[in-house]
Amino acid sequence: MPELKVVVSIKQVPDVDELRIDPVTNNLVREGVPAVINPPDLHAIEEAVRLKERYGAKTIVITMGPPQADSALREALAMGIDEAYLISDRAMAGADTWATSYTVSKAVQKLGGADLILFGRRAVDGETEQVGPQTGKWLGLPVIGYVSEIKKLEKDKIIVTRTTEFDEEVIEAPIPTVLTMLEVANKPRQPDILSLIKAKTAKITVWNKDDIKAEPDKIGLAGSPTKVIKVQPPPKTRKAEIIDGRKDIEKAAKWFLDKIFESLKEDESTLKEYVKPKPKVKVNGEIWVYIDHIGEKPNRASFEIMGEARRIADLMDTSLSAVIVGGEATKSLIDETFEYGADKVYFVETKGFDRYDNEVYTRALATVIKKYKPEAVFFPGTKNTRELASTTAIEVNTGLIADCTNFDVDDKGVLLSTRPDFGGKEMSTIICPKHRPVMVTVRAGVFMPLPRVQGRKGELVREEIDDLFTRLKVLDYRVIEKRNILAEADIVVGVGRGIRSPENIKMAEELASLLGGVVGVSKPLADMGWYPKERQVGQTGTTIRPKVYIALGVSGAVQHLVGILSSRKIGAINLDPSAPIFENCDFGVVGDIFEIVPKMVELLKKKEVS
Amino acid sequence: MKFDIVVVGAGPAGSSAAITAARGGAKVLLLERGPEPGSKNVSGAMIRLEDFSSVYDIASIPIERKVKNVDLILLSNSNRTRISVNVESNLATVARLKLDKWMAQQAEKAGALLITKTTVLGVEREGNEYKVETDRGEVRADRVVLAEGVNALVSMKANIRPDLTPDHAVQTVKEVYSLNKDEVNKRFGFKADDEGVSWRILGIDPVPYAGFLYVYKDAVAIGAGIPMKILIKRKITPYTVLDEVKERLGFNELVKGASLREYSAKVIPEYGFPSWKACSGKIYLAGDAIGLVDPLTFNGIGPAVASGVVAGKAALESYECSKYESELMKNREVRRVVNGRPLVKELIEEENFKYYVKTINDLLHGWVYSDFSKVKLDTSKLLKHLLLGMGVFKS
Repeated sequence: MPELKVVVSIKQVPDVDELRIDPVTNNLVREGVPAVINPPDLHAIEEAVRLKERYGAKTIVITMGPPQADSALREALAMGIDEAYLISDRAMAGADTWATSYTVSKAVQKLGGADLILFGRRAVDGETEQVGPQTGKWLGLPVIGYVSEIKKLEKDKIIVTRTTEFDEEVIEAPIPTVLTMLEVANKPRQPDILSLIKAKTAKITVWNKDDIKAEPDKIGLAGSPTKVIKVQPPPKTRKAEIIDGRKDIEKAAKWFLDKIFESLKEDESTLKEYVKPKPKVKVNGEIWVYIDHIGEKPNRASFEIMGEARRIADLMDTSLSAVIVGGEATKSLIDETFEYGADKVYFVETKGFDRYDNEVYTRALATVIKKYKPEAVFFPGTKNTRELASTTAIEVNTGLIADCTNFDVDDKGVLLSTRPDFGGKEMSTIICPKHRPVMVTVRAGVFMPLPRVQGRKGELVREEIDDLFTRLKVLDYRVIEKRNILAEADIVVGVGRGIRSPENIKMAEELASLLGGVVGVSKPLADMGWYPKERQVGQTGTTIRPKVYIALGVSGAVQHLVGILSSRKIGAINLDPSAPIFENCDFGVVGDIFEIVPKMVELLKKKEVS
Repeated sequence: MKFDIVVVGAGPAGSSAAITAARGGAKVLLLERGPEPGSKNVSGAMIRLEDFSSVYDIASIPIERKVKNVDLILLSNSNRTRISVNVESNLATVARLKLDKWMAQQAEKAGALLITKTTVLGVEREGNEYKVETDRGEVRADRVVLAEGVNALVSMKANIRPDLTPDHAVQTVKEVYSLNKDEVNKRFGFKADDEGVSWRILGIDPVPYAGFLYVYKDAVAIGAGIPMKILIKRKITPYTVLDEVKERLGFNELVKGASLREYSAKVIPEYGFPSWKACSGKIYLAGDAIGLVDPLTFNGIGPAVASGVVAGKAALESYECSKYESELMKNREVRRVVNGRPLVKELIEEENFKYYVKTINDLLHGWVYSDFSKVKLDTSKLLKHLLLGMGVFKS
C-alpha cells in the first residue's frame, strides 16, 4: 500500500480570548491581539498526527494567508506534521469562502492531491463552516462534515462518525475524501520544547498564485462572489435595568426573581400578525426557502426563516417558494409548508433518501436551482443545511453568506444580508452583486414563523431526480436522544469566577433546579476543571439561546458575551458595578451572590414568589 | 538539545543579551513564557532612543510619540506646582508589546532562536553544562542568562538572589485609555501626530506617591507608584491612590469619552545588585531580575538593555562572576541606578517625601506671593540628601 497522504488546511485568526470591545465606540479592539491557529483547526492537526501514528502517513499542513501565518504553520509542525506550505499572494487578500476554497483546492492539486484532507469544523472569526465542504466540492471529492471520530481507515475507504445537532451516522466513504473535524474528536497535544525548536527552523514552502496555477479572476477580493459593504458594531439591543442590592438583600432577591418570571412569561413563538411591506422593486426570480428535515420531521427553523423570507419576497414583489428535497416520507411536509406561508412548493423527489445525503441532495437542489433560477435561496443554519448550502453554492457557481441575522432590500433591489463576525462582536453587511441566486444560511432562533393557516394551499411543482449516485454509505444511524442540554435549556444559570471555589457551584445548582434550569460556567472555571467542559458557555464552549440567562459572578469577557448573545433575556448579579456584564444584560443587581442567591433560594422554597 | 547560551525572558534585557551573544556567533535559545514577547509586560514606557542605539537598528524602532515636554507636577495638600521642561534629546513613548516584539525580532535576525509560550521552571548545573527545565521539557546550555523580570522565580530557586521585601519595592498601577489620534492631539494641544508629552507627578495625599502620564498615539496612560511598605502600613490599595491622582489632575475630564483599554500592576524593585549577586557559575542575571530600575525616573528599560548587553557579552565570552559584576559596575546606566538607591531610600521614607513635596511647593508659592514665612528649611536633612544626590550626579 502506498504511503497515506494527509493534508490539513488551517487558518490563522486573532486570539478570541484576547479580543476586547471598546465600551464607548463598541468597536472590536484588534490592536495588540496575538494571532493564533484557529482553535478548531488544532483538532484537525491532532487527528492528522494520530493517523500518522496509527497507520503511517505523510502529513502536510497548508494555509492561505499573509506571510505572518508562517507562525501558525510552525506550530502545526511542532505538533508533528511533516511538511508545511504557505499559500500567500497579495492578490488572494479579501477572499470569501468561494475564492478561499478555490485557492485551497488549487494548492491541494499542486501537492498532487491527497488521500484525506482535514479541516477544523469552523473558523472562530468568520464562523461560516463553508471552506471545508466547498474545497471538497472544487476537488470533486466526497465531503463529510462534523466528524466526531475516525473509526477506521482501510486501503481505499474510511469509516467515520458524523455528529450533527440531531443525529449521528456512521459513514463509509472511498478515499480520497474531505473531512471537517469536530472538537470532540480529540484533545490536541502540547508540543514539547524540542519539537518547537525543530519547527522553528523547519523549511516552509511559500507558493503564490502562479505556483498553484490559480486563475486570477477566481481568487481574492476580485474573485469573490460576495462583497462586504459595511462593517459596524452590533446595535445595543438590551436596555439594562440595574439596582443596588447591597443594602436590602431581600428586596433585591425578590426583584430579581420577579424579573426572571416576567422573562419566562413573554411568549413569542409566532409573529402575531404579518404586515405586508410595500414593494421596493420588482425582481423576476422567486425567493426560495430550503426546508430542512430529518425524515418526515421538519426542522422548525425552516418555518422561522419563511417568516423573514416572506417579507423579502414582498419587498421584491415576487413569490415565496419553498423547496423540499427528500423521499416518500417527506411528502408529508408539503401541506405544513403551505400552511406556514409558501406560495409555491418545489418537491424534489430523491427516492430512498428521506434523510440528508450530501451528494444526492446537492445534486437535487442544484438541478432545480439551475432550472428555475430563483433570485435568492434561504437555508436554516443547521449543520446539515450549512454543509448542503456550501457544496450547492460551488455546484451552481454562486456566493454563499453564512449565518445571517438580519436582511433588507435596498432601492435597487439588492439583498443586504447582515451577519455577525467574531460571534457577534462585529456585524458585516454582505451583498452578492453578480451571481444568482444569492444564497444565505440563517441563524436559528432569530426570526419568527408566520401564523400557521390550517388548510392553506399553493402551487406544487414536482421534480424527480433520477441520478441517485452517492459515494457516502451510511452503516449505522441513530437519533441523538440526550442532546446538548445547555443549548436547549429555557433557563441557564451561568457561574463565573465570582463563585470563588468549586464547592460553591452547588448554590447555583440549587437555584437552577428550583427554577427548572441548568448550570453553565464561564471559560476560566471549565479550564480549571471546576465543572465539566461540556457545560462551558461561550464562543469556545456552547452558544446558548435560553429564554433567560442568569449570570452569577460572571464579569462578561467577550468570548462569554458572544455565547449568551442569543438569550432572550439576561439577568446578572455581580459585586463589581463596572463589570461588562451589566452593559450587556436586561436586568441586574449590584450585590454579593453569596447573599442574594441564598435569599432567592429561600424565597423559592417558601414559594413566596411565582 | 544543546545550546551555547539559553536566555530566559524575551524582554529588553533578554533580547539585548540574545542579540549580543548571537552576533558574537553563539548558538542562542531565547525563551519567553508569554504568547509573544511583550505580552507579559505592563510598563507604560518612556524611553531614550540612545539607550538602544548601541545594539539595535533604531531606524525601525516602533515609537508612539516623541516627547517634546516633560511636565513635573508637585501636589501637596492644597498647593499644586507644575514645571514644564522642554526636551532636546530623543525621548519617546512606546507601547511595550510593539517594542518588545521588535527587539526580539532583531535578536532573531541576529540568529537567536526565539521560543514563546514556554516557562522555565529551573536551572541546574550538571557537570560542565546547565540543564534548563521548562514546562515543555528540558534543554541544555553551557551558559545561561536569566532576564526573567522582577518576579525572578528561577533566580530565587537557584539561590542566586533573595526575594524582594516590601521595604525595597514600589507597587505601581497603570491604566490605559483609548482615544483616537485626533482627539489626543486636540486635548493635549499637539500640532503633529508624533508629538507627545509626559508628566511626572509627586504627591503626598493620601500617601506619598510618584505618578506618571504618558501619551501614546491613540491612548493615554496614567499610573502611580507607592512604596509597598506604605501601602501595607496604611492599608490602602494603589487604585485608591491612582483615583486620587486622577481626581487632582482633572484626568477624567481629559479622557472624557475614552474607554479603559487595559489596567495592570507591576512591582518596581528599589534594591538589588550589587547588594545581591548578579551571577553564579555561568549564570548571568540582568535587568529587573537584579533590580536595575532607575529609582528616580522609573526607567527600567535603559538599564535592562545596558545590563542585557553586558550579560550577553559575558555569556559569549564565558566571564567569571567577578568579571561580570565588575563589568556591570563599569556600565554608566547600571551605576546610575546603583548610586541613586541611597538617595531614593531616604526619599521614599514617608516623612522625607512629604517634606520635600511640601517644601518645594511652599517655596514656589512663597516666591509667587513674596512670603516665605511658611517655608521651613531643615538644613541637616537638606545637606544629607544633597550629598547623596551628588553621588548620583557624579556617576
